[in-house]
Amino acid sequence: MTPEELVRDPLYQINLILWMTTPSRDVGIEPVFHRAGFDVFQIEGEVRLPLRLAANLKEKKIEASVVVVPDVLLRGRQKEYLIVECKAALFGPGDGGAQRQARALLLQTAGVLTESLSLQGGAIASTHVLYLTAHDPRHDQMTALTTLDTELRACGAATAPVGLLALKIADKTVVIEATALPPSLQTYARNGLLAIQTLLANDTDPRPLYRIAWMPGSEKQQDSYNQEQFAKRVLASAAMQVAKARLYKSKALKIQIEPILDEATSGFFRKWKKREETKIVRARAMEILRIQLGKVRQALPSSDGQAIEIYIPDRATQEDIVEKLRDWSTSDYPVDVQQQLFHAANSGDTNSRQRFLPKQARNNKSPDSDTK
Amino acid sequence: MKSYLLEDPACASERDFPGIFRQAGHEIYRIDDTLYKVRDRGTKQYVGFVERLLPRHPVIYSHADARSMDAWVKRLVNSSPHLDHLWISGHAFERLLDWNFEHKPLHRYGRLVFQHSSVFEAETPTEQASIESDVEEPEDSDDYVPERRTTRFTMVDRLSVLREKLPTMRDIYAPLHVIAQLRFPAAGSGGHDFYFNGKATNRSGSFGDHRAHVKFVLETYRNAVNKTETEAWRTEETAFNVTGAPVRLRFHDALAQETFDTFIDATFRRKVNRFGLWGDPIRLGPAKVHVYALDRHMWQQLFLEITREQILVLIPRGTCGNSIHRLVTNVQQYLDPAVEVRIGDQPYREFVNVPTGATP
Repeated sequence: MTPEELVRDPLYQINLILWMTTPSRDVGIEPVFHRAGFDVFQIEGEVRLPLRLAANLKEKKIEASVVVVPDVLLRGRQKEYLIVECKAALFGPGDGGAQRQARALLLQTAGVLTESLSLQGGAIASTHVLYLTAHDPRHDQMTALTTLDTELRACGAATAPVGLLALKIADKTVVIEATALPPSLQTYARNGLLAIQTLLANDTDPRPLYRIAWMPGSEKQQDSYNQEQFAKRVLASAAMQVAKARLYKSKALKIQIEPILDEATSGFFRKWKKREETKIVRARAMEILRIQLGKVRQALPSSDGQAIEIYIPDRATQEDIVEKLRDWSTSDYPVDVQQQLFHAANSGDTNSRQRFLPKQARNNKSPDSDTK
Repeated sequence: MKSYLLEDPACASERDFPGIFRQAGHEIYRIDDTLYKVRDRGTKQYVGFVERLLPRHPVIYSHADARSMDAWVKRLVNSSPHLDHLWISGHAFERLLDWNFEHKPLHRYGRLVFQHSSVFEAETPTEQASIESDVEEPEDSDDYVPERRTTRFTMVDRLSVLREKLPTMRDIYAPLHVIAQLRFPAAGSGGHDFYFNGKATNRSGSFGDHRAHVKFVLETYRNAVNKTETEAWRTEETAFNVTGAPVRLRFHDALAQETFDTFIDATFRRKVNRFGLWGDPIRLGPAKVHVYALDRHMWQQLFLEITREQILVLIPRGTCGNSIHRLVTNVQQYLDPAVEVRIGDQPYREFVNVPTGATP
């Protein structure tokens, strides 16, 4: 993936924002938000419109979502809140869902956001909405936002200031072309540009370590790094469970999938688990584990689909399994499985135990039956 | 008498604590609230006592022969995901040495052992580079010695001389940043030798004084680990683990490409490796890898970005800060004695402070 493509990747964008809020020095990414005094308040947290406001807008035939989930909400030292929404590309005419979301975000003035977050009066002094996207020289990207803002104001609605952070590559650096920044960030911009990340040599992928390994929607980006790092975090998390497990002569070990996915997603899986996309990720994580564990011993999904069961007779086998979970690479793993890791069309029913078994194994006894 | 300072990050309950030893094939018998007798189930011999001196820090005291007891403790730690050694880096020892300069009579003798071996530079390095270190390596042997930087020497002098000379010597020779043993002069004659891996030898006539020094080092270490965790986790008790500060280990001189490749290969392609890490690197270029790794001792997550210039580490909430101190200790001993370490935007040395009121 070239740097120009990378800046469009939503997973890169959200991880970049998180690095920008992290106290650090000389790590390759400028912690601009941290230096300006901002800290992460919420990631993928809901914000709402008061019903009265939504109803008023509806009467005026303006559609706005009642509940929206901006990517990141930052809180500054002076009680100023930044609502940051990451987009591969900004919306255009006819992009109804994104526009409804944008209206709801623009309407998050200090009072509305205070109510939405159930904070005490005066807890929020000001708000500012920032859209982060890849720079597109063919369009005046800010227009899409100011048009909506004008439309809302014309109806008498109060709106939060809105700005644009457009990512682009200039002189071996990822820079943000910033428009309408909040005052606390303006001092960090030079000629409207924030220098964010220094790129290394041309033959080196500039990605930072990912704090968030997957998020709903990121699966649309078919990218080998995204897939590999997610798979490796799943395998590492499973290895933790296996390595710490106590072994019993009469019982198979149940490797629970939810804690694994929770750990692999830095705790977000619980939050996202009702979303449709999580079914795909869960099924693929189960498949990766079953294949990799199966290289040492037979591994089967449990009847409730919540775990993989594997009988581990002794410490030596336990260590072999942990090693095998490490020994995963793109070179010895079927390419089609990697590519389908996030692919919706191939998601399976995790409750179907038989589906995961090689034909021969379907007739075998369950792993714990031969140990009793 | 030897003491072995350990860490039990989960701070096992009174009920679970004996289970940690039982899992490793040993028995402990309670004597009082915090003290237990330890028996090796294999040899049926009592090997010493274990005291839960601080809630997260059991200490094993033993009169047994050092060679056999060192190996016994090492086996105990290696066989348990609930226990780890203390890891006192060269930078941390420097802070403890500064404390000695300020609080011990300067005419007393201090004893320092410096230890560094650039194992990843060896001509045929992979096997050697993978072997886990022992506390004390044999000093002389007839074996072939590969050409690479290796330093191990002892310096004994009055504290006043050490305080005056050491800074200048360090500027000239970087391995002098890697103190691997430090003697605290005792209240009477002799002293207490602390090793980088948490072993301490009582070379004084008083167990009470020895125990007070052990407690003092533990409190300082505990304070450093707590501060490390606060900064590196940085999250309240929430579900998300994504806002912690990175730990950055910047090499004084960039690693040679060959050393970088050997380090990655010897650490992540082998089950037994000096850094005690588990993971499969993702290559992002000739000299950049990402490893979503595990610490093999405690089986906890840590994420690493390794280049020829630096190692960047993220530890999710829940991963013990001890992992960071072990990494710093190992990097100083085997990669770069003068590595500069920061946690977030603060220097690592500032995390190693004697807590207010602590004194041996």
